Amino acid sequence: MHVSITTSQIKYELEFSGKFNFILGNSGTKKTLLLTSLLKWKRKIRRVQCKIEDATGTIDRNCVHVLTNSVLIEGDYHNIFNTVGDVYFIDENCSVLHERDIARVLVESKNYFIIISRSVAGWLPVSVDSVFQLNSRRGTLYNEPIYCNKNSDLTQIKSIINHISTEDSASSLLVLKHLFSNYHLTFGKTREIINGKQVSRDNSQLCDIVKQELNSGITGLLVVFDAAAFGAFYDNLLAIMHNQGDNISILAWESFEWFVLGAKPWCINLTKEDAGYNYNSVEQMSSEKLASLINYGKGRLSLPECLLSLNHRCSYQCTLGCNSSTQFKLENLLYGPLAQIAKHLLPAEENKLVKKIDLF
Amino acid sequence: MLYIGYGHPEDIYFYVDMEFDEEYNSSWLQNELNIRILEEIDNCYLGSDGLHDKDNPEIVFSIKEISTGAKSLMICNMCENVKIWGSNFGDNCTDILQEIAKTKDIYIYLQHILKFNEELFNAFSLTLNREFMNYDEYLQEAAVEVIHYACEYYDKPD
Repeated sequence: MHVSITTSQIKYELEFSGKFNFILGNSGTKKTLLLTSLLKWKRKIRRVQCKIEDATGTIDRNCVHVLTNSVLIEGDYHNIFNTVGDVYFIDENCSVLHERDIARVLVESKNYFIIISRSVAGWLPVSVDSVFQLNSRRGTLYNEPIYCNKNSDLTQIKSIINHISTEDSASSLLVLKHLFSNYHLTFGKTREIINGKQVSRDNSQLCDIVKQELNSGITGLLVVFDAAAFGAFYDNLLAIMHNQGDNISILAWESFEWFVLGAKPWCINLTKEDAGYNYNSVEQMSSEKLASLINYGKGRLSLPECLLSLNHRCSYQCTLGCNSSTQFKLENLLYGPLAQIAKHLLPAEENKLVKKIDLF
Repeated sequence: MLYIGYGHPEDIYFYVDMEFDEEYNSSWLQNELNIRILEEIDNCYLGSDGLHDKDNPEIVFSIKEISTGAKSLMICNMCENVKIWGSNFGDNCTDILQEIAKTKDIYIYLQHILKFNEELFNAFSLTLNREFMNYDEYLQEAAVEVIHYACEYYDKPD
């Protein structure tokens, strides 16, 4: 989606994709002025020009909603998001963002949301590459990504990998264990004890788990996360990585399901543009797509055999894609970053040899 | 002293734009620190006809159009017993915030991890009920408390 605004004082050229986008930044970087300018355009102030376009064409002024700090919503606020394909610009102080059930309301809504804030809300599935700040170049303000232009740029394989810590405790963890079963590797536990509490692996816990693993002396750590919904947590991970040098490598795929879809035989590359406002993230869209191709569920007991073993004879009756001629094989996943990672792993025997040499 | 808590209690300065409209009077522009706030945070200077953008002096705007962070700092500077929502401040406001807090008590309530200059950092934890020993202790507390507050406060979507 492209947003172009010109007022008598300022010009914005902004580019967004996907359902949830955040604009962060210091005070005085003209974030709130953006909303003020949009309000002037909504009120048809003559000197203010604005054009908002997505893949379907120009978005009408009436389909753009600006919820500023001063908006007072009385009555049932849920109804204001009962539109489809509209664009909502929301300022952080707007009271709707402090409604307890706002996460569910936004996730269920079929619209675009551009939220101005100091930090990314942990309760929304925000992609790392959907976090922006405003920068001025030659009198025009542009939104520039804070972390990366695209999530795949976050992947960094730095050293020999000894331990893999995944964001989830089911699908990706199980599949990586099977895929790299011939290598000497340890994996994160499905449940961890953090500050005395047992926690499941998920994106909000990953940083604490990684910190704990590093404190326990693990070296050569590969951290795997779904960048399509990691926007709120990436800053914490960066802070952990700060003093770790080559000790931490990163595998940042949009999601595990997205990566599987990119493998043969499907070779499907879903993007935020494909997800649009109909899906909360590329991860959600990829999960649905994969489930339509093979008998796939995110749970640890619902992974099809083809994703868990080298036995190519799948016992499930997949409706699409996975027939005898196009059967998926686990080793199809050894492409792109996983192929690169494999080069950084020590085969089990070689690793034992290295350990023996270390003993002497 | 700067006091740091979390969440957004009822009795704090939250809607700073509107609070500023009510609190502000023209004498505030006689205050040296307020002029510095305008220069350092909003990159502007005071002219005879309003505030001018330093990079493009043709851009003139009123005091009511300055950033939320600058308004928040001025409220801290000019009012007493300020309790204010910490997310009104960008990270670039914290040096001046610490400076103001040397002369009076300011209570900020955070819902994000506000970054301070480590060397200048000096604050009191409302959670621990004592001064922070160092900046790292603040960062660790904030990381836990901000997430804890969000988890407690917001309903998770299904």
